[in-house]
Amino acid sequence: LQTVTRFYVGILGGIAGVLGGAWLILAPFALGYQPNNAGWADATKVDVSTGIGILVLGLVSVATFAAGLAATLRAEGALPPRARRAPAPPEPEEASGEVAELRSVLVRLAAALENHEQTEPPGERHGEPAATPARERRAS
Amino acid sequence: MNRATRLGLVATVVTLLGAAWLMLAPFVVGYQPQGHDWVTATRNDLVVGGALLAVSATALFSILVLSVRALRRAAALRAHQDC
Repeated sequence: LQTVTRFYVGILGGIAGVLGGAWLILAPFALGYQPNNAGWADATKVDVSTGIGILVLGLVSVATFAAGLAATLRAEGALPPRARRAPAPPEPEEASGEVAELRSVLVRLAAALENHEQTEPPGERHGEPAATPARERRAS
Repeated sequence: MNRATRLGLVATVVTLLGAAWLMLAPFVVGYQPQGHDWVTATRNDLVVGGALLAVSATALFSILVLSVRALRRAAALRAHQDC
């Protein structure tokens, strides 16, 4: 617990900074020391600029201490390790030897089948004459 | 102390400086008239600046003390393992 307490303290400090900065930005208008329909008074300029700075610093504090907390918990095994991207699958190698021969045979076979289907008269594909009724075929 | 913690510490130190500036600003910039009661802006800046100063100083001190303790504990553990 002691190893992570400092991160909690930092996160709480950052949250206080965020809240304080937000209040500083709003205060001139909420407390009324910025007159309506007038240029910004010196107090307004100081409060708004300082408030923005403290708000941003508070956000940075929260983000960095939260990241440190997560890294420490991960190192101690209290959090699961960060998922890494799976390595890209290897590029398919150029076919060689038997694979290349098999591929060329398959390509030729596919071309022959396609050619056969194109030249065959319609209705007689797959060896079944479509126009002949089943009973006649049995009789013959 | 990792890089994120160092960056967080720097942010805390700058916040502390900003809070100190906020407390000085009414008198440096001059929107608090001399010899008069504090105006609303001055009161607000002193209260918010004081609170932020206290919080950031406490956080800074605690983080430094706890980090040094963690470093010493890690060094002692390493020395024990070497023996």
